[in-house]
Amino acid sequence: MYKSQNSRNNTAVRRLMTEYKQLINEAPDGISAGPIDEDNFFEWECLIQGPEDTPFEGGVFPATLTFPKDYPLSPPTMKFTCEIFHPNVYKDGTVCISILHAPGDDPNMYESASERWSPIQSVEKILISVMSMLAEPNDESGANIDACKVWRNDRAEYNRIVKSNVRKTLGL
Amino acid sequence: MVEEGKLASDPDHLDDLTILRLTQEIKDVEASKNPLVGDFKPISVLLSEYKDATFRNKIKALGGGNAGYRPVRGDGNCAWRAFAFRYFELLSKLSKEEIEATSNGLQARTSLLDEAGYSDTGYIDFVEETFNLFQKLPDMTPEQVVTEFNNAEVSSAIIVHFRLLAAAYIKTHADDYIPFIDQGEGADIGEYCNRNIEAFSVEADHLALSALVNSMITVDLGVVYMDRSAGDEAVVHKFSPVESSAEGRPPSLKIDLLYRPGHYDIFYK
Repeated sequence: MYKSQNSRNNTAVRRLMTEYKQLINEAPDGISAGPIDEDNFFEWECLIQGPEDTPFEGGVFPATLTFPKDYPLSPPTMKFTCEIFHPNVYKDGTVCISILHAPGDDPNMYESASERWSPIQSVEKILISVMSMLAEPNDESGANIDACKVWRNDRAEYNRIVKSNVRKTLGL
Repeated sequence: MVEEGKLASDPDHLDDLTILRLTQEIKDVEASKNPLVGDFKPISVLLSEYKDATFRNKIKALGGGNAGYRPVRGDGNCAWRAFAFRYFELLSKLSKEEIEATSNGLQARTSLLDEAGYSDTGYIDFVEETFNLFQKLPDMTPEQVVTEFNNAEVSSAIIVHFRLLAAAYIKTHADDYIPFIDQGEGADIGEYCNRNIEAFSVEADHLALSALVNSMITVDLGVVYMDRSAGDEAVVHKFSPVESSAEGRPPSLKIDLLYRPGHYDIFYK
């Protein structure tokens, strides 16, 4: 009667549906996210507006979120699908910030002050963290070494590259 | 650090993310060789694992007769899973009324999660899984509890519920815990809970166990330390709740864990 059911990812789907509904009803400013196809709740697309008073201002940056079957025990991965020049984004678009890593599973272990993934985090918290990452890169945990160097040594050039990418995302 | 993700397939140029992923895969494969909650084994089986005299003496001193242990998968959740399983196994032997009283008592503790500032979206699915099991429990045998706990979705959800209760207890009793958390760099309760308790697959430390027992109220926990320290008997660390349930209702449960450096199993006296 109580035979073990095969794991059917009920928890993950239930949680993702709840989060999706909440994001539809009350998404924070500058953020939208949802499943690409409502038949597959494990692949989302999101759009992030560039924060004001940063070289990203005016841009809208698309990214995908890929959720593991045991979400929210493990975090999703996030990958920008547009060109992004940023110290904490790998050249293939993969975002590298601490909230996307569980403790002990974090390539930036020395980066102490920021929050790690746990099952009470959410898509909303990830996207808010990514927005503030755009505004304030963390140069201790470089994912894109070139971007780190330019950001540190030649801020005018960094701003120029970022702004030119902004124009590309707007199709200008 | 290698910056190009596309080099990931070249073993001489693995990037950090790939190394982490591969390491995790190795750990997962090793862990999945054992059930989440294994079968009861008599003490003689434990004894046969050791040649070292210190360990053998301590194991012999644990007692013969019905003493034994039940192995739990070493996946970073072992203390939590061991505790949660034994909690429900013990409860499954009690009367329907006692189970209900325990369930009601634990339900009342959900307020800790709100006081700690967790959003109900974050915790509700996990808490529900615990009380689903409570509802089925009066008709279940202890063997069925084993089966239930080997369903990863069920036991992992209950573990998260218990983790959040422990973390919420620390957050709502910060003054009691700050002296143990402050490493001289300023104590941050939120950060401590985020890193050490709320996150899945992170081993329980002494504080986590103390907070868990305090948050549950109805459990007395004993941890038998089976290590190489001097002495012919294993040291037993006892954790009892600061608050206790009124007039023994719901009844107090006695849970014993067997600790060997880096791992917890369930101990049966």
